[in-house]
Amino acid sequence: MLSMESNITIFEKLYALWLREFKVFLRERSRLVASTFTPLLWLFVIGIGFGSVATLPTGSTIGYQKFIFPGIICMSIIFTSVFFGSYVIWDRKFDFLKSVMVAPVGRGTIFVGKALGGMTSSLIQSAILLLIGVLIGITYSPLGVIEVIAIVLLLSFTLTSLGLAIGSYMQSLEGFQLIVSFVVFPLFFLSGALFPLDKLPPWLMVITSIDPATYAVDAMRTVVLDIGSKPFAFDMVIVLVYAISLGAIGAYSFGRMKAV
Amino acid sequence: MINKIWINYKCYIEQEIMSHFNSQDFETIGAIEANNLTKSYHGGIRAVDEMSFTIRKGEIFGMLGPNGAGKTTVIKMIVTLTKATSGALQVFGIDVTRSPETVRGMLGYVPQSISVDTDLTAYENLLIFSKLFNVSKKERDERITSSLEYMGLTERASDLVKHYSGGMMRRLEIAQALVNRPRILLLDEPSIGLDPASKKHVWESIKQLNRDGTTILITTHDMSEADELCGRIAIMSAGKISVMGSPTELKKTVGGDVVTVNLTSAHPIIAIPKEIGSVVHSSEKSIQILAINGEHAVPPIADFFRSHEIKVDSILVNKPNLDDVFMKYAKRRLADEIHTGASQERRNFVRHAR
Repeated sequence: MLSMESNITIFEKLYALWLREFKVFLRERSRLVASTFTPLLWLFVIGIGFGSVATLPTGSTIGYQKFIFPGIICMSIIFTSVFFGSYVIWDRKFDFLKSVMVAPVGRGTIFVGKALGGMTSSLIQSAILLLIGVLIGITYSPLGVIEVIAIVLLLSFTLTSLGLAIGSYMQSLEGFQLIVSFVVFPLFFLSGALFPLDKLPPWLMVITSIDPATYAVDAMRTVVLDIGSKPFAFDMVIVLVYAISLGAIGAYSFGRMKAV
Repeated sequence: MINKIWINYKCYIEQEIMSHFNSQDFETIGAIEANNLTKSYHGGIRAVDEMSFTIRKGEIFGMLGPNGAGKTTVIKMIVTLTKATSGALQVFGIDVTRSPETVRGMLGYVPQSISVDTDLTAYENLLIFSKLFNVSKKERDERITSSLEYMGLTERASDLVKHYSGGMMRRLEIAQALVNRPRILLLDEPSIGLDPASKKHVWESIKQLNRDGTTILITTHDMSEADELCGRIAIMSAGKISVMGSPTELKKTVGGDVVTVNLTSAHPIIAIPKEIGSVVHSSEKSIQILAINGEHAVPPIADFFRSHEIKVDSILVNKPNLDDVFMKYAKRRLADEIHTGASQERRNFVRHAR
């Protein structure tokens, strides 16, 4: 009826859904502080602590703290993005999601709108960490900044999709947290964020190669420190494939999600 | 001014819908028509069991029943959140399963739990929903402003919703549904968890909306709410409609009013004339008489006792309430089955959780 008349594109609806996530993010300062604190702990405590004993086999002049810096940014993305899936459980606990579902909005659009919200959170947190990086002597080229943003967006879309897909099947927050801790820690530890992967035994190498974060960490290392082990484009294509696959799974999960 | 905006819009909508039917059809068509509507879940549980009803254009229709009677399931089928297992369901003659998008475009839905984001302001909530409901940029501001004004929330429009009282939040949820300018408004337990004053305020808003032409369907387990708001009521029990009618009609079916006569002293055995009513219960100092109309029976009863020189202390007239109706048709007391606590707690929990 009325809907046929006005010429509002799907982008306006995506914007509306994103706007909500963004406003909520801005108002929940504690969330931002808490999620920035953990990476800093890793960077300054583990980074300096392990840095005093660890020598990197590459023989490069880069210290351990700088070496893990790209990995810590990815860690922050992994945690923020996957845990973002809990917000879909919140929306169901409230009847907010019901109201959205009764509006003329496709489930795929609801999914992408939500994912955009998760990506924005990751982007803001990464930006804060990148600025802190300057304190430990990291420098960026203008192209480097654009490339880092591309990595952040791609990895956060991939993992937000994963989190939202899991969230869409879960009824309780407790259940979600339990399942997700089985997901985020392997994603983080196997990504090579904390140690170089080239000296690992073959069985462990195989497992790390399945982890999408591995490629994001490597790409980030290439851009920020110029010590990546694979070409930037190769890493990005792999993450893109993961992004498309998990995005499709996420959209499908939202399609069959019940409003409770 | 608000009323004027509303009436203009109603005329517009009327024309829109009329273009789908010829005028004769439109007069006779029900706002919502269900025929043998059934919803069964895995394990063969029938939440809604072969239900048939028609909700007329312009009325407030109430579904009254305890938790688990199937009220919410019916609403969910109407708003296309769940599909009927069998049977037919039409909104203004449009099949819900075949054209869910068209149907949703005509509806406003206020679910039981909180459907606004408490971390946003009222204005932001309405802005987001006006975008989701395809309201054009030109109309958006006017619709948001008029919805807020209509619900009496203009002054608090830029406050975060988490600082609202329960009643204000409820009114905002209705305002949110109004952004779509719905033909039919569906309210699932509209006054659950509200204090008496907020409840009254919400009721007034609902009545005003109805006077301005919106057809309203509410579900409730609150008998006073059903009595206060609804033109017609369907009493539901175990997925079926036990009985349907206006509150007055339904109460009449109970068989009359109970008039209790309290005496100052014990009385000798007396026979009450049939035309006054029949004695249903009597004790030493009190007699209960079932009369067709309690108020009208009071003068003859008083006269009767005076003529027999029996001193009357007081006369009470008890009108049957909807619980008596529920008792008659569902063979149990509604009040015994209600666990308002659960839903209310959930709403409170959700309100304060974030």
